[in-house]
Amino acid sequence: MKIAVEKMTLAQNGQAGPASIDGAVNALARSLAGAPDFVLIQRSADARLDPAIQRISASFPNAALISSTSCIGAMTSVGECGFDGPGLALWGLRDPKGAYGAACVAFGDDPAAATREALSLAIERADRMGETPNIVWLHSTPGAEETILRVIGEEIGETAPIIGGSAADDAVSGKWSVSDGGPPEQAAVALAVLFPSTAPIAHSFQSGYAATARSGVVTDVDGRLIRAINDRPAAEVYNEWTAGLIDASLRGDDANVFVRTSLAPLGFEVGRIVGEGGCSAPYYKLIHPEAVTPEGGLATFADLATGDRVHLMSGSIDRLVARAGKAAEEAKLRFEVRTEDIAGALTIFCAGCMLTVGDDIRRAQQNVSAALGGAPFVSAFTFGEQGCFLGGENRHGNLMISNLIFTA
Amino acid sequence: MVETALGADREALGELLLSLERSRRQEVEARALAETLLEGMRVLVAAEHADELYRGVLELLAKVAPVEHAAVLTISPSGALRAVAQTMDGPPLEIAMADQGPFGRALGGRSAALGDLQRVAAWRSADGAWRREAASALVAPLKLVSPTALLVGLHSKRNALTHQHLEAVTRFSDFACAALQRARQSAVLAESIKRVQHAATHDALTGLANRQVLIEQAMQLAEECAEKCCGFSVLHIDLDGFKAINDSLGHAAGDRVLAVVADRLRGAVRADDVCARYGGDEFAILLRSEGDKMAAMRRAEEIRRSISRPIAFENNELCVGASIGVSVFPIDGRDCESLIRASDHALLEAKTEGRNRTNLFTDAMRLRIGRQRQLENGLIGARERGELRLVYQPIYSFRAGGCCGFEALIRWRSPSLGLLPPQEFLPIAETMGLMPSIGQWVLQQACADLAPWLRAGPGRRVAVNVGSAQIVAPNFVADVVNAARAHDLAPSMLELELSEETVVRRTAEIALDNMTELHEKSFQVAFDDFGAGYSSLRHLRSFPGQRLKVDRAFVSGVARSEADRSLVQGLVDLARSLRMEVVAEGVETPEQLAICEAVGCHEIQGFYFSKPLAPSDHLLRASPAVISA
Repeated sequence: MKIAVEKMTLAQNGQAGPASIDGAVNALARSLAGAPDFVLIQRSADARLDPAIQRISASFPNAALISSTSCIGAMTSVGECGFDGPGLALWGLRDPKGAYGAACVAFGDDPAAATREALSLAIERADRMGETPNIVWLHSTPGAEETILRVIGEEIGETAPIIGGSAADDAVSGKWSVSDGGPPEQAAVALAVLFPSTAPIAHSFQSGYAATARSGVVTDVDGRLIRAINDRPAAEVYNEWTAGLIDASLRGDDANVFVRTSLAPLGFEVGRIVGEGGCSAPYYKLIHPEAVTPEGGLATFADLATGDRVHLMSGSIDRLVARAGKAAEEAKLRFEVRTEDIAGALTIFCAGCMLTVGDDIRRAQQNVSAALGGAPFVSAFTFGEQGCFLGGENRHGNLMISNLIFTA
Repeated sequence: MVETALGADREALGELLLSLERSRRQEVEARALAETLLEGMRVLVAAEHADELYRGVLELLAKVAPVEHAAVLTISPSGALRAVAQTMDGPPLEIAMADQGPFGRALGGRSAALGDLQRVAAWRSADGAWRREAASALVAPLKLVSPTALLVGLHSKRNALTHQHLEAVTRFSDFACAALQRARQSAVLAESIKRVQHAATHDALTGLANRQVLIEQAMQLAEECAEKCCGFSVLHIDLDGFKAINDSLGHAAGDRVLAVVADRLRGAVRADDVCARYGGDEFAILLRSEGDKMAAMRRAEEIRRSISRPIAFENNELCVGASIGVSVFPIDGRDCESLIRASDHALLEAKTEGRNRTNLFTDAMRLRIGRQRQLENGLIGARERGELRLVYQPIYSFRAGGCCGFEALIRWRSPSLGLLPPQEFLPIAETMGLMPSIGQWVLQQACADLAPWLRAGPGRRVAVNVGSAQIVAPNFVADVVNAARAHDLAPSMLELELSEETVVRRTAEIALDNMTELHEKSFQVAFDDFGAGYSSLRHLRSFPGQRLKVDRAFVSGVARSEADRSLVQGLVDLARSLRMEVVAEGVETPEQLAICEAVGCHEIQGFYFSKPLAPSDHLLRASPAVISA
């Protein structure tokens, strides 16, 4: 198995010229010593990059291909892209003995059906009908992630790890999109089923946050909109817990709280790590508040249910920066992967975290690169992360770091 | 600030617990693996055969993964994957091979979790038990096994078997492989042992059991029949004319004859009879349930006739006959050894009586065997016990007109059998290998007994018979020389009598060389019993001796048969032409004496002249003239 990464930035005239696209494609094929079997494109949410996706897809007609928009751009082992103008990162994997299939299906009015179709199509394209994939790589547009995970679990079992991140744009303005090489879809599920020839494949799903002592029970919720906590308006409770972090929004000045809440998300306990002597610590799915509604509700990027206990979580820039590398290390330790055996990796980093840490994101990427021993990788910045917790359960969360490490 | 610090502590605690959890999980996995290992080892050690091992592997599989059923599949001769072991009842699972499908890839070394088995094309066209019930599967190659086998775990629910299970199964399958490999090696070893055992117990050319098996079976049969009070027969078969075929047409023809005879024997006996190649062109058969002599005889005759049918070989028809000796349990013997010996005796009698016939072991044979056994037992140590003695028969010379020597004749006075003549015990002594030592004793004793007489006058000699085994002994010449020297006898005083039969044996060349050497050392050499055997003129011509002794059979008839007289006359003429003297043996009447003198015999011996004398007889110390007719 070989993995390589290339990147490309839009020219000054704002066009993705064929020469630069072909240059990236050819460079990737050269690095892989052949055409890739699986291609992942993380791109800026700029429509001028759309033709590039189809051109790359045409260049690798036999490869499973997924493209997803990422907040601002992407970080790679060969540097950032998209931060100085729209660009894309091209990650390729060559593994002729493995099998890979990808599909993208628009939600229409039934995300579950779309997911079922996409999964079936991807498995069929991998020519592995009836087989359980080793990994499902997922990019969907935000909104139906929980449904998507549930359907995939129903179709191929709960235990196949599902790793990925929700497509993002630069300002939560709905300009995200996903694609399998065809025209980008703005409300769709794109996924790839991976049957690599090499083992093991390591993965981890972590956050850089710790729970505080503040918590409450969700008493009124509608999917991702928390209306009330402890029978009081959710935004009001949250503002109390955070000592006025969203005062302005409660006053009606600025409904968007996406960046401000990045270091103080809500957390929902999804499991416990139990130590010797009964000592235990919970681990959480994070819920990132996105906006305050006029009624005092909190709009988030993840579903909750009435009765769920939410905790105020606490993070710091340093912890987020360090966590990126730690998550990769954790994956290596958990799956007993030696650094020298790493062929390459994919990482998902919460867009909110990325925006919060700002320029320090480069330190985070250095940590990742160090953990991977310099192996090629791409990091996407997403509006929701999917991964497999320690207990084996696949979850959708916010402000998480998810990664997938391939061995040669 | 306080909240952040608290968060950092909580994160550190989380990290610690995460690390502990990781270690705990890895420990659990390691323990599970160790348990699997131990179980694998148990299977490895306990299972001896592939079937047993497959069952063990399937049992173990159920411990490492939640399978409801499992199977081990290998490629069948038709090219399909077929269960060689499976836990489900019903016909064996059979899956058509497709290189690109999960089963084909698994054969190539790639395991797979099949979460939705009914969507796998190869499974949909599969056959056998649980084809429809199974909804998910694990497929793991047993890689070290050659050809590769597949371990398949099945479950009736979709996605019930996962990659995590597959990982455990894959680890386990390595041990299963080692165990299977060992079992296969055991099977190969068992097969090799079987082949070696077969080779050790069967004749390679004919495929029949060998002598060892026959003996073991005979022993077992004797015990069984003794318990059940029933009988069985032993047939000992020797082919007549086989040697001629082998010598004239080569071993290929001989081998063909043996193979065909073996087939005919197999065809002539019942399934529970035992048919064996006993060695060379000898066969033996144990006929179960044939305790009746006449029935056994009839079966033996049928077998003999079947053997005698012509055998096709390279456009020729080969013919062999068979002599068969039959013995029956318990009449002819109550143990294997005596039964086989009895059948052997009966066979020898059949051979002696003209071949191509079947002889039953009889009471007369039993008596002869008993007598022979007594002789054999008595002969052991007879010389040391002083039971052997010599008597001396005077030899009368016509020319000297008196006794010119004595022939030493051996006697055995057995405490149980009485006085026995040499013809009764010497052949047995020869088969027992006693002749060289007995012969040497005769030589020494004769020299010792007659030395005074021999030295008392000129032209005297003592004749000693030399057996064929003695004459070819490496130190024979030295023994003769030493014996004469020990008693201060001139070589010419010692005559060595060599029978015609000794000269025509395979060792005749050595015998003639030794005799020639002794002759050259001035020892006298006589050709004994001439005319009774082959009467080979070629041997007579090359014989280095100076005396020919005419067998008593001719001498006894000379007085009443003109033919015998002419024969003796002819022998005398022959001897004279070879410059040899003639001694007539067995002269018992004046007529015989007269005729022997008339035809020109030089010397005579026989009862007419004197019976053999004991060493103590005073005549042995008398002058030659005193010992006269």
